[in-house]
Amino acid sequence: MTPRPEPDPPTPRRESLAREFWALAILYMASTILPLLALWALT
Amino acid sequence: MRRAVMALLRAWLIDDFFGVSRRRGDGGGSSLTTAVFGQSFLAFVVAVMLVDSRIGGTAYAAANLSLSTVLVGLGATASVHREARRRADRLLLSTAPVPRATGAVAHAAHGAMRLTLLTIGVALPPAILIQATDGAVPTTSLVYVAVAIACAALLAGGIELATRAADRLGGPLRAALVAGVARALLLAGAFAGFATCAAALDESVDALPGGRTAALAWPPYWAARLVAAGDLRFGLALLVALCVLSLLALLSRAERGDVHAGRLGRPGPTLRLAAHLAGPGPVRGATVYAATMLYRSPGFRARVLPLLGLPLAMALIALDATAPRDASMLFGILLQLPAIYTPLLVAFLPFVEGGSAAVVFRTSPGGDDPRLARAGALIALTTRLHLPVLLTAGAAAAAFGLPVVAGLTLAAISLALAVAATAIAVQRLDGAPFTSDRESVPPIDVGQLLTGTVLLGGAGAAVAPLAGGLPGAVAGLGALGLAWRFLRRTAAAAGMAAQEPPR
Repeated sequence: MTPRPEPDPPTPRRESLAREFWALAILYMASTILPLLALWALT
Repeated sequence: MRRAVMALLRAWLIDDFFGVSRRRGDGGGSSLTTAVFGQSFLAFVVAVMLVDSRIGGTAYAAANLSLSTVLVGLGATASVHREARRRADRLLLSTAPVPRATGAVAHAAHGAMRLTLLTIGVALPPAILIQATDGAVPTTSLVYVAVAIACAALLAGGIELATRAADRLGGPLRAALVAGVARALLLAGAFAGFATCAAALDESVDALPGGRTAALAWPPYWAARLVAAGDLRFGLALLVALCVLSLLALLSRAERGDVHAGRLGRPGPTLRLAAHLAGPGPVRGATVYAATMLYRSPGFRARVLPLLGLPLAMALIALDATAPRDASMLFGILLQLPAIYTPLLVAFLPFVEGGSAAVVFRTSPGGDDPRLARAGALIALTTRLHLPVLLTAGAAAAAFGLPVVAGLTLAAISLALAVAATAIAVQRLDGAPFTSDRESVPPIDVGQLLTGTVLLGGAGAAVAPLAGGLPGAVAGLGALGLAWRFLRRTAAAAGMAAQEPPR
């Protein structure tokens, strides 16, 4: 009797392009607001 | 066509975002987003520090545009998995039921999208803070972001074209070498450029090292003139450069067959010297393998070549401002840099993409003996890295105002010192170089590194006064003889050890 092959481990399905684009959008927003604050403080 | 382009775009973007973490097998984190975050923060810090009423709009824009362009350019040279990606793309596209044009459109869209995503992150902070400089109007910020993308496209596209040309002329190995050299030059140039130009930011362009001509040769300066002074001629120049680049990219799209991939040439002089030093038997095999892979492994080159860029930059800066008397001492210390870097090089030696050569060493008699690996690595590093680097540096002594003979004498003594430093550094190798495919950065002993730096730097300064005279020449020849004898003996001892029957 041959042993039953092990099932493949489930691949992580946490990769989502949409979520990554949201993260980038928030990042861009932060890189807009931070300099705006700095500008306001400097002038 | 739209659906095919979207599908390809999606596949490539997934690889951009998640490819690195998936290959490493550590879950679904995105590497691209973290890279954008880090670069954006760096750009913000630099942009805030440069806000100063004495720094004009053009200088401010030029400095920040240079930073963002260099950052994106470095990203374009960093791809270690280039060749694998190209093969996967060819398989994907040649089996897909889409016309050639669709593939080209998808490629262009993906390149533009990736570049824009990366550049916007670094361009936003200075684009907003430029409003603090004189003569800025609200549209200045928008123009700034647009030209930042254009500059980044010029540099990244130029590097891509150069790599592609090297690929067509000499194969993927040459292409990886060109990308590594471009990275080292960019790092060195950026370091030297920022260090020397920062002092001249509050003056006119003529105060820069190299003057107006040097500035005009650097496209971010054209862009800065367009942004801050509204000079449309420079905008036109930028546009023309982009068109020329696109045209060249279109012309170079045709694929080359894989006939020449991995072709072997005649062994060069350094490889023959390595084989001669190793003598016959298993040491020769270990040495020639390590020596060949030193130049071949794209991963090693991508990690190690940039390390050599910074010392080059320091040397360039130091050249500017030293009296001739100090020059020989400085030169003596600079010649020790390859030896100082050796522990870092050795730390990266065990790794290679694939790692399938490990089986050869495991199955050959005595092949996995660490003494064999150490002797091979020592001879390979000496003949393939230290010898050419020190020979070039010694011959370049004229740039420091030293006679070439003095430079070569110092190089000979430095080579002997480098052999000693390498012999100590390779003791940490447990197995054959270039056989492990774990992608982890090994721990590096900082204490050992610092001790080595101090000792070697001191030795370099101490031997510097010897250069030029007859005692120096005698010392140089003696040092070379000692190094030769030491290498031959190490190889012989390792060969004997490997042929002992296992206990």
